[in-house]
Amino acid sequence: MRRLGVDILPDTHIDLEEVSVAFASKAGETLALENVSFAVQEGEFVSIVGPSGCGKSTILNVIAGLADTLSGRVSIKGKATNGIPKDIGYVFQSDLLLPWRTVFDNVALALKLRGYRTEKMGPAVEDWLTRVGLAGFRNHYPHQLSGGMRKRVALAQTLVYNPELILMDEPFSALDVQTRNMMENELLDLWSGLRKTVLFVTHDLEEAVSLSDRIILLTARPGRVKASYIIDLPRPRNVTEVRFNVRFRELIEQIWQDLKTEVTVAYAASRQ
Amino acid sequence: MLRQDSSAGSPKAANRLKNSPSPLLVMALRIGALIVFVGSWETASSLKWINPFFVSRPSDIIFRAYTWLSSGYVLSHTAITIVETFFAFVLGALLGAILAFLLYRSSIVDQALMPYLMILNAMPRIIFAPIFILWFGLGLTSKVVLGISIVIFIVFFSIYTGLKEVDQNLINKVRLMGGSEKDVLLEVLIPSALSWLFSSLKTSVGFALVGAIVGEYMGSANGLGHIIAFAEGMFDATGVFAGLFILSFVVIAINWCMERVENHFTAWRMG
Repeated sequence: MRRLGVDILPDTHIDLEEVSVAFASKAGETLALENVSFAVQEGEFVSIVGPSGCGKSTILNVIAGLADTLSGRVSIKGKATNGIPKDIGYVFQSDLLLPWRTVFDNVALALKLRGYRTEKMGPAVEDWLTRVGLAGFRNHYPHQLSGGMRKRVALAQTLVYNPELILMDEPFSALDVQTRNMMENELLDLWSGLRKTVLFVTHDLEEAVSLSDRIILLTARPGRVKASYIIDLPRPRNVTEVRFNVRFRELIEQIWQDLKTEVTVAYAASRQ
Repeated sequence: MLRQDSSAGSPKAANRLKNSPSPLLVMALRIGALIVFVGSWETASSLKWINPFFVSRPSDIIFRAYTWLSSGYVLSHTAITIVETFFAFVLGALLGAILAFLLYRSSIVDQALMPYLMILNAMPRIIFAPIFILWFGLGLTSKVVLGISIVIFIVFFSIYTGLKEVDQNLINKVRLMGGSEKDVLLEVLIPSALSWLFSSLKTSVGFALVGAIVGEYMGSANGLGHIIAFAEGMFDATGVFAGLFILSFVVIAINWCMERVENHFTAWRMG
């Protein structure tokens, strides 16, 4: 057994050691993740990439305490997690707003759950509504907004309570390309100001390269860490313009060579 | 052939405009249909083409309803029917909601009780009316119980389905934000349940009224159902129709109120 705190860097935020996860299925138990180990530093933007069904989202759920591990350990800031950690934000694939609450009340939700009084949280909520460009929509209901606007509410909803760690599960996959690039740039702007640790799951390699400091590539199911890539593109980045960078194309090509075999395996498995 | 083609090729918006008649015309047609129906009934009955003993006459029915209303005879009966409907709905909805939450929260209770609930729901509740009258007497209670026995299932199934359809990740999200089990209940589950309750509001109130009327009809000394049953016992077709006439206004009034309530509480769904 490795002793905790000895071989972990002082600014390690998340540390996964030999984590395996299994799901009950028709054929007994299916292994979703097998001996996954990696660490994320504080303030780092890391993306997890892999073929569909490789357990990318499961990694986030394990960290968030929403899924149980079969073996291995997950620690946050050197402490083994037990249930839902404090100071965590999770942006899901769908926006998951409360349809019966206005934009303002949706953004205020986390603060309300943390016991803040209305007078006290008003300025913070207003501030975030302005930052995501929805100040004029505070009294609208979610169904009155476009998909991109709802996503911005979901983002403000998470950032308003200032979590140190933000997990994002394909947050922009449901958006059209233009809206998506806008949102990615907004996310980078917000992140560069706040310097939160972000663990971002996507199946889109270009999105991962344009946003991240580092990319972790998973194999086809059961997901194992196949490789890790440092994305040495200059910051601040514009996700649309960074794509014209020669280094961007090199990185895409390098990672794609490794990803391709896994995608082929996953595709063959899905057709059986 | 040519005309059909041209109309099929026209843009949707133009089609809609062409096909939707003016509200004035609709209103005129409605009133026209009523006049034709009531007029031919009145004429056929007055000229003895049909036997007025069995079918009565619109003028007699309206006069009878007016007499009942002006003498106050029908008002206390209507009030009793409304009170029974109200209690049947409120208690039925409350019990149905509690049952739905119980089965949603405990999968063992769910699996144990669900078959019985399905069977009970499949039974026509109206046939229980004599039993309820036997158990709870001729008064208000038996009618309220009959109404509850119908409403409880409508509300139970609509809230139960609604709770099952709540996105698990929405619950997870509230927990991740630091919410307790109580917060999940207050912020997610109860609002979802209420939105399903309101969507079945008109149906359940309607059936609460059916319970009250049928109960009164089968055995009671009060209520609109009793008035109709009493008139029927006297072979008084005019009385039966007058009772139905007043009842239909009660239904319209209740529906109108329910629509207002529904619109008020589901404002977040409107455009």
